[in-house]
Amino acid sequence: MSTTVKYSAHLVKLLSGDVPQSISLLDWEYLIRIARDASVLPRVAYALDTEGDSLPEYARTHLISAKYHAKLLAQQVQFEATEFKRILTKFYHEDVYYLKGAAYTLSGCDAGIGRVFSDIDMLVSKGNLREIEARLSVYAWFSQPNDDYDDMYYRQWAHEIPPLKHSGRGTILDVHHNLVPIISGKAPEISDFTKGARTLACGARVLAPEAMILHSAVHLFYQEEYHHGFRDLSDLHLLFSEFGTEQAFWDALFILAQKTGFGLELALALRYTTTLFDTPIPPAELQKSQIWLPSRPKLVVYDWVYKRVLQPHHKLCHVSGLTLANMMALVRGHWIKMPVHILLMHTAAKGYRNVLKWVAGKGVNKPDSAKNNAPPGP
Amino acid sequence: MRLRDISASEAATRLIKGDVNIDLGVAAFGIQSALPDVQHVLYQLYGDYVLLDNTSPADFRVAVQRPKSMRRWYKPQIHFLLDDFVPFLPLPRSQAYPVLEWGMNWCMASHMHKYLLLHGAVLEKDGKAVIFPAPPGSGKSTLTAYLAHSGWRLLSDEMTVIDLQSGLVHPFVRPICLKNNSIDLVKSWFPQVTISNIARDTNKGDVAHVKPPIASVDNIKQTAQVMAVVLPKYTPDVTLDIYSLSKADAFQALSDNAFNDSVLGADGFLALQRLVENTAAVEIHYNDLAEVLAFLNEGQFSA
Repeated sequence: MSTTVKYSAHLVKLLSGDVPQSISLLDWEYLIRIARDASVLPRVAYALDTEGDSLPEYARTHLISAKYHAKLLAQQVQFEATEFKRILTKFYHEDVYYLKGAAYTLSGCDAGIGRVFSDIDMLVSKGNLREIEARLSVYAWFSQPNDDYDDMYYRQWAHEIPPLKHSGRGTILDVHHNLVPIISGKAPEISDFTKGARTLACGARVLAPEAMILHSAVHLFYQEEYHHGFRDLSDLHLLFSEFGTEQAFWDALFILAQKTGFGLELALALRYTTTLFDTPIPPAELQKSQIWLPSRPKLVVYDWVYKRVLQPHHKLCHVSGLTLANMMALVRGHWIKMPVHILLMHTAAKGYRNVLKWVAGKGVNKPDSAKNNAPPGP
Repeated sequence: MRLRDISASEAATRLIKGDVNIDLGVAAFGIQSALPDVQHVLYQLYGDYVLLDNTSPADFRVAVQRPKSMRRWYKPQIHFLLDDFVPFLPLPRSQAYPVLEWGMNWCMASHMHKYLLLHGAVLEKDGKAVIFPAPPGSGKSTLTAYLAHSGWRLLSDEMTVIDLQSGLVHPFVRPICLKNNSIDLVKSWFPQVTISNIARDTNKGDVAHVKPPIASVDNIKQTAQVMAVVLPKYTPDVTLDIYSLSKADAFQALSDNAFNDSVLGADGFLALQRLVENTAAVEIHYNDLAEVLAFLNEGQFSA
């Protein structure tokens, strides 16, 4: 068996709670490194029995450590959600919805257990953005120092404002007013997605399962960068497995995809979760989604690209053609988000800065880099 | 097999390939570097450590490399990697070796949560260990180097590793990191010890690393019971003053110096609590290390 197949398949097995037969300690090292790189180490840890003595001590050490991280993250998001409720309800009388990792974790669904995320994603109504940003700044949430181009990009074209960081706790908050960039021309009517949203015991609101899943699929296939593609596909696998037992869910999901124009993203999500994770999708639903798939030649290209970029990217996985596949996914990610003239401008602006980085080194022109750079020590 | 059992040139060849996996007791570090100065200092300081064979896993695969930017032709930089991940921005080329040491500490502090990890030195005598938690500038490393060559066993200069289950301290023996004036002081006290060359102008000033005593390296798996917590504070005009600390103050001091108590949550709190309840805690102000040694050797702590 080639190493590609071996480690990706082993990782998928571990994620479903099975330890592959006769793996060596060195295999464990490789799997843990791959899982950590793909941001699924805590998810693996929760899938396995780390309390008993069925696992080697080496693996247990790293899995237990990963669990502590995930537990802390879950506590933090719970804390911040309570905090936002306190801060925002004073003046903002519409609903705040949590998205992606924060939503999975807050709602306690399977995809939230051991889910790693670096920021909290929140959806609010567009008309209130300015005021929300201003109010949050009073509570020490500030826009990250980025350059004028980035700021313009976010405010004019994107579906979110520049990330806010809490100056004390360091938590990052992404405030969205839509699910895909406005400039793409594909931004949906947001009320279609928030219909049927649920209020959790902690008071936070999350989208209904079908909207949560469709957003997850849209987010995955609107990306330019697939370093977390495997983790995100694993999210979809868990979400489909958990909610897909009810016919009503599938009906609602297909109606929503049809109505908002995200049929392709749903079809791709179903196609690749089945391929990589063997997700139990009802055959009739899988069949039904195929009308949204592109024509045969195009689908061959899609398959070639996505079956690569949705694997773990670690060098130990030796995914053949990954660099080219990443490049093609990058181009597609930009292509579907921006009209051509804007895309050209954007590429030029970003390209210029990458050249600067390459010439002068990372961290140049950042006055506070020395401070943030200090490794722990005396 | 120990690192010194292979030749320096073989070590260099293997370091280029990343085929050097050193057993540090609580963790094994696989190390890669093509930089000759890093290879040289590593060989010099880690010679007594056991080299694991290539069927053993490493807990961390680390590297110190030059980043791929044009910058390598002028004012060159280096960066530290854990696997493929670069946790810090690059630093000047001259700091390559210290960056490896600090990066290794970072690996532990951010990924090894089977233990409570404190920023502090720990040394042991007659089976009883003393922890010296301290912020920079307290003279901790100088004190550590002094004690480590005066009959105390070095368990760690930088990171105290406490077992969450047993409360025992595990050695994490590493080269002692000396700063500025203390480099010459230690050289004058102990001319026989091996000290690396000096990396200048790091964000901690000039630094050099002292090779740990072989007895400490040989006992790298030997845990110890913690007897006391001593907060050192180098004070030029005080020979030796000893203040006993309340449990609350001791807890606060340990918590301030803990790397991962927040990650450990309740388990971290309980580990700190147990540590404080079972040990005596004092703060010492000193300018005379011989006096400190005499005080510690007497071991008169009231719990």
